[in-house]
Amino acid sequence: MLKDNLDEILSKVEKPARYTGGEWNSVIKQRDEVNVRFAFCFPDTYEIGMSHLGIKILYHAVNEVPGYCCERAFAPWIDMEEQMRKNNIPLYTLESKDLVRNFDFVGFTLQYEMSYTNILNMLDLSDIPIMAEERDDSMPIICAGGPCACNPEPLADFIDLFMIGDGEEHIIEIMDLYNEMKKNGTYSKKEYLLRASGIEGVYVPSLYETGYKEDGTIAYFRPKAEGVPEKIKRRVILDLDSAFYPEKPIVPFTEVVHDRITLELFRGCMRGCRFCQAGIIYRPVRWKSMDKLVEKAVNLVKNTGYDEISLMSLSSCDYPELGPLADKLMDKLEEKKVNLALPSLRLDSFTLDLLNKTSKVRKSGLTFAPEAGTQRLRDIINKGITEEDLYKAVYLAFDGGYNRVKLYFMLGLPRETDEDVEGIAKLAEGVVEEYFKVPKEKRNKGLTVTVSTSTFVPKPFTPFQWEAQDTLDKIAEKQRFLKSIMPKKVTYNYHESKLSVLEAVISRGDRRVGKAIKYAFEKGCKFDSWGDFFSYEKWLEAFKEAEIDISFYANRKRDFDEILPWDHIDMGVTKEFLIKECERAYRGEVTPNCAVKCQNCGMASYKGGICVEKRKD
Amino acid sequence: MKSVRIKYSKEEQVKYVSHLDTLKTFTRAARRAELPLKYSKGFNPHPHMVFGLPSSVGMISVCEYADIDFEDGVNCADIMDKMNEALPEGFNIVECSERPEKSNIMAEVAACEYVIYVKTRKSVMDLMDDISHFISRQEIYVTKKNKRGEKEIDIKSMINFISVGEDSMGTYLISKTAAGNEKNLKPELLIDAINKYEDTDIEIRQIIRTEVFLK
Ligand code: SF4
Repeated sequence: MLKDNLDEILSKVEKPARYTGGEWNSVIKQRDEVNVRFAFCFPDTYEIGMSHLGIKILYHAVNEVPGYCCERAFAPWIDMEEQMRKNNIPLYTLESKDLVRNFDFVGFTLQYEMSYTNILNMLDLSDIPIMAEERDDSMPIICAGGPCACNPEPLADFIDLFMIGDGEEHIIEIMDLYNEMKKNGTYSKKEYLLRASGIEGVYVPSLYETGYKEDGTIAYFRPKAEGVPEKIKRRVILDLDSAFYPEKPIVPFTEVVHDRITLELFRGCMRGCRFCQAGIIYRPVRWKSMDKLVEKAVNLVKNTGYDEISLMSLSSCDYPELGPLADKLMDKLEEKKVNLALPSLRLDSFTLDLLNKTSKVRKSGLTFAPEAGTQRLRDIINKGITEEDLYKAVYLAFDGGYNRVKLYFMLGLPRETDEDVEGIAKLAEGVVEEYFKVPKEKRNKGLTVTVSTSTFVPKPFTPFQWEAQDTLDKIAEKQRFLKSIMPKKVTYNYHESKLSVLEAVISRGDRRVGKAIKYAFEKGCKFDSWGDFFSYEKWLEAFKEAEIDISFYANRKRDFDEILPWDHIDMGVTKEFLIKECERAYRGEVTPNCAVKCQNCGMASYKGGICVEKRKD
Repeated sequence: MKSVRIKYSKEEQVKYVSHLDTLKTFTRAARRAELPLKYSKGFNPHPHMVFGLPSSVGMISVCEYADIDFEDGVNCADIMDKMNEALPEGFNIVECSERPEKSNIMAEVAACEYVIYVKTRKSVMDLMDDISHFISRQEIYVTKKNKRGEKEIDIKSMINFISVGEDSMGTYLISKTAAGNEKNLKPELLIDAINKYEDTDIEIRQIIRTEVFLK
């Protein structure tokens, strides 16, 4: 039935191969061999979703288990959605083409706040009520995980169960409990959620209640029932070498954003940049061993046929044996014509040697992220890069034949002054000068230096979680100023920061913000992070109707003792540490990274990763 | 070097895979099969793979051709077996034979045969009459669009035959039309032409390419 209808609409939409599955290494299990079915939903397009490492890991982790299956669904593009709605075709999974609402679990990954309207849209497309309280026992359990789940509150009305932290073991446990309860006939949604809340790292929002003070801040937040944990402790997998990592990932037919092998070198980041959420919520750094990585890489090449491996981590150059690893990989894979790609270069561990190894053929552009224009501000945000680092790095790059450099900065960082904004232009100027220092015969013609600024968004679980975001006008003013002083040879890119404002409201939002997300969805907001569809006006209306004051969430500086909406989530890093870091920031004090000196951030209680490593001194 | 020509089918499951993606799929399959693809020399080495008149997105085909070059040391039976194991379901190589190094499948295609399942309110008998009326015309002009714009062309000489039939899946036409670099008549355009000249309302449900004729 579905198949016939599908065929008719697929011939009318763009890139239909996104909606048909059947890719190499995708897993199709027979209906009668599975007891529990999980529909993994990615709230963005196929191209973006299939580029994402998390989905690959969890998809195969579940499918490894006999009796369980994981299938995929992505947000259909506008033309496909239109056809689906017109022809009454609900959202289905790519594997079995069964309807998402027939699954036991529907899981969303929360990678960025601006995908939240897509989540509601996908539920709606599945014929599943978006409000958790309107879903009865016949409906799937709707769950969510991923980095944005560290503040789950804006989605509390819609999601039954959140998974906090590393998911590869966690997801199996929540399926186990379900399986058990279904088997012995004790399953009801209510009973299941109650028992699931006892699994470490599970947060069931409906089991908690909250109230607000007159000034709008949170008065209390507490479990409604006894036995429901007050704090939800994040799950951490300490030994990544023995953790599941798929060796047979799906190879899409159609081009996706990252169409290559992703080799995860380690999880976590030891740098401690104070604006960076990932740098906190994935602590501690947990390395994978070189031998295991090489072994995995060889198998991955064999099982996928890809000709490129990207070494992926938050800051890949921190991998202690990166040079030897690159050598070994090239050694094993060169004759197979496999390229290495290093996506996240850091200035201070940048060597030309490594660059030459990883990009034998392509001398494409290089990207650096000093983030702030002056040393003073870089110290405040704890970005341990000096001007000399940058200049030395770009000189080497230009000397090595590169001629395109991109520089990333943030505007609106805490304590930013005009001088810091000016500093961005000066730094860019300096980079141009380095180019002309390279002897003419050595440098490649056609220099392009691009400066991009984004707008700072204060995020939960960072030392800046209490900070105010600059207002739209203020940011616009800074952008105009920077544009006016940018050297002629430099291209300056910036975006309107309306999206960043919404991000700020939602990322630090409480339960009340959910209403605005619902209204925005009802007004037709979706694919908000795709410029072409973003409607700030609709969002403003939604906030107004939900009686949400944007500035309360985005532009208000919080006190350290305010109850924050995410205080019941325990990511492992203590509030004391974040406060200490915030105060150090104000004093412009740099904090050394985990490899140099442990800062007792709280993660050591997990007893693993870099926290238990011997330090050199 | 081992230059081969393969004949393969592209079935229901993969009919939406585009030409470019098919090429990628075959390259990756060969790499998974650890067959020694012959790579070009130079800056950005790529395998030598030419697909002859690839069917369009949505079409099912039991007859597709591709020319691929391998390094020495592999034989055709091996290539066929290993590739089939490494290709996603829906792609299936049915023939593999050596070809002269310089030959190029693109230049050799002469005609194609299609089975076109259609939706129409006409009975098979009526449709047969319409079609024979259509074929007996002296000239059949259609508008062909290409990058440079639109052009009126006479497709009469490109039509080899058309017949009408019916089976459990419904009414179908079978057509043999010119194909290749010089003259190429796509089945979609043929149906447009029939609808333009005759009193028919034929809608295409599914096109299946059943044969490619080489020169
Ligand atoms: S406990 Fe120390 S070593 Fe571990 S993550 Fe925190 S600061 Fe780094």
